[in-house]
Amino acid sequence: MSPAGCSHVNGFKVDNWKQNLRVIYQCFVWSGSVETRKRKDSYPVMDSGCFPSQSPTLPERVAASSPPSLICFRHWSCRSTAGDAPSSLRGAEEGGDVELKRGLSKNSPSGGKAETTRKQRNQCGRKSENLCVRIFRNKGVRHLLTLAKSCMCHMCGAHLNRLHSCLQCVFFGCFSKKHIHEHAKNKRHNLAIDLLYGGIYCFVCQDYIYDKDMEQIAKEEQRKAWKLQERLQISMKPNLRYRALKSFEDAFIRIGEKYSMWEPTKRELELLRHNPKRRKITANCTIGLRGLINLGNTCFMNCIVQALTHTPLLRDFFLSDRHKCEMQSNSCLVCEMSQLFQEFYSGHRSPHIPFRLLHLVWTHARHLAGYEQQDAHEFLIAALDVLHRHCKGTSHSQPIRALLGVLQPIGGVHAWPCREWVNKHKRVKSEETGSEWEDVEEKVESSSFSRSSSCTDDNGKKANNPNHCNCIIDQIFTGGLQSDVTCQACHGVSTTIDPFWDISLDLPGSSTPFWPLSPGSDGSVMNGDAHTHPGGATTTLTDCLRRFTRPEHLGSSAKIKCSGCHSYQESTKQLTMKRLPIVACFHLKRFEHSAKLRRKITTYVSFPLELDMTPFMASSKESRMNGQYQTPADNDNKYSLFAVVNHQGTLESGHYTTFIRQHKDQWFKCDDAIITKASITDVLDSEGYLLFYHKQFLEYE
Amino acid sequence: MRAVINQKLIEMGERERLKELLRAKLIECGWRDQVKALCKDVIKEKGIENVTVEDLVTAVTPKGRVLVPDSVKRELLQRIRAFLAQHSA
Repeated sequence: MSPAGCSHVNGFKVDNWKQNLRVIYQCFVWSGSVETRKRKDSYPVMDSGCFPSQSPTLPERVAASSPPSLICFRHWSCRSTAGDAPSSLRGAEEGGDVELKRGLSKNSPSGGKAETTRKQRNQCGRKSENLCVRIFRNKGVRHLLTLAKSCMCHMCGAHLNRLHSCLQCVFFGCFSKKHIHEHAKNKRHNLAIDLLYGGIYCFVCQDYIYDKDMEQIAKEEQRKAWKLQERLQISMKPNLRYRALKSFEDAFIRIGEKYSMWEPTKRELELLRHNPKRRKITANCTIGLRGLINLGNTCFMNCIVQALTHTPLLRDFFLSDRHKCEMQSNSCLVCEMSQLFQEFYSGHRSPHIPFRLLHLVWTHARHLAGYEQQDAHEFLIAALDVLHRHCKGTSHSQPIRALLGVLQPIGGVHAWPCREWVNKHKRVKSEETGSEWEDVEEKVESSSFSRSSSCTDDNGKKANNPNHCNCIIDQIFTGGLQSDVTCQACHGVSTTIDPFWDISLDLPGSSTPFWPLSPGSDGSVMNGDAHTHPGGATTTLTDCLRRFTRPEHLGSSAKIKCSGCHSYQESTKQLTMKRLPIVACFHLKRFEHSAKLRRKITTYVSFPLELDMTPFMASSKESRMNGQYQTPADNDNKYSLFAVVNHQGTLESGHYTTFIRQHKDQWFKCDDAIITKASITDVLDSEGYLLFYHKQFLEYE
Repeated sequence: MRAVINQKLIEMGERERLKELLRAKLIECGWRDQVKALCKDVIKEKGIENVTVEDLVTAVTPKGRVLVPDSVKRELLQRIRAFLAQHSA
């Protein structure tokens, strides 16, 4: 049996078979879902083989819409001989040929129907083609009526059971009950079509066959039906006049573009033919791994590039060429990233020299320019920011320079290697007034969520809705951080949600106290975990997260005006995750540079391979507060580690390396130009500075 | 009874919508992948040259039905009920 068609279709492929096949697809398989005009009188229930052409509403309805047309089932069979035995209007079955009559004119009396039908039938014989064509133009009502009325097995009346339609005459039969098989045997009609999926079944081959021409038609009709459905869904709403239909508005599913597997276009086939070399991805192949030459203290950039090029979603985005550049100049960072991905996945094993990337970084993030050592975390945020802006092109967003470029080291001193990336625009203002770089109090939100606002908004307003920009960077990296400020007097809660790209976590050993976690308590930890004095046990990433999401007294010196009590009151503040990004980046704040001291905190923090963020979600906190049992973590919040950036050395001078995950369970250490295999223990035992986690299960939006 | 409901569903275009919703849900919950895997097993067993769609249908249908998560069933039922409640003739 050949994988393609079979020879038995040849008997079918005669005369106008293509058109007839299309009619079947349009009417029965992929009919557009159109709202019929609802009438008070419902359709009489059919018994099998009967068509309620006596329905009083039919001629009126048809007369209302023009032009009228006639669906003659006989046309499907390409045999439009006038001599064929006519069926009466009441639909008594005769050899499976039944006709459905549509009113021809406003004045056609129901009494004279039998008369007119016969006339029509004879006319059909001559005008077969025209009538078939007319059906296509009158989409909607007709299809649905046809579908509703006739989609039942002619032998048992069932509408399920894998209903098939004979291709050579008008017969519907169930597949499961073998009714269509009987028909095929009796009439020697070898082909039938599955009305659910459009597959063509050959009774001689006893299997579904895939004839190229027929598949082509099927695909085209399917696409047409989808487009029609889309158009109609959009145009539906204004037409909803009926009370009953109003409830449909929320029942509407936005289907969008139908998913179809990739099929190469002519051009792509050409390209494939001219480039016959193929690369096979085996379990052990090293495609995607490539070293990066250090261009002079550029390890801070190299380590982030390694992490980004191994972010699965980002990789898929760039390798499938999804970036359409709208920038006029050559300085689009997204294009450069795209190039970078091409280089990484090219299969070349020699280290790549990222000079163009470096140049672009210097252009767009002046504060990182120069050959001094920089902070990898800062580079990550700057890179994400520039990519985010460039994703929309410069036509909408303000020139980057105005917002980033002014940042110069103050007094010649780089506050390297770690600068708190606070509200950029506040910083810009202080630049203008010439004030000193302000260190940020640890008490305030210290993670870098206050990134620049959306691609199109350039007033420096903090975006409250993390979902308003839809570039790939936002889709992958942006999460929502919920901040609840509770007034201690009236217990009113004021909530804000800020977008974030990473979470900066304080570590034990810094000047700000790590323990105790919750206010007023003494080392007791939330979630009832057994945890002893910090000196004893190892600090884990979850400990840091717990601290991050703890309720915190803001103290009597920081009273907030409460809108409930209309007075300044003491309050507590708590951060929780409102919405998790697909890739969560954790920044362990190892570089302390408060006014008092600058040092690196080398406390070991253990981090897991698999992380469950459920306890830190805003929803979990709410259910905890309501006393509800915290449901076992659902899959939405499960994360897997895929990259770790480490810093070796001191505050003044050090070196960055990255561990990245390849093929699910292989790890590699990327040290500039040198890539070596690493074990999972190497990774988990490392100090950890930036931890990249990827969601395990992606939600359907 | 079923025939009447089905008729109504088709006429109002609800059947198409339900089909799409069901399709989406079954993909989301991984059911489609599970059934795909079952089909692959059958094909491996019978050999790609000899297997027919019927073989797959008879072998996989009962298992596939069992694998549909209750939540999906519940949701679809709910929608149908709601639809009927709104359009009871």
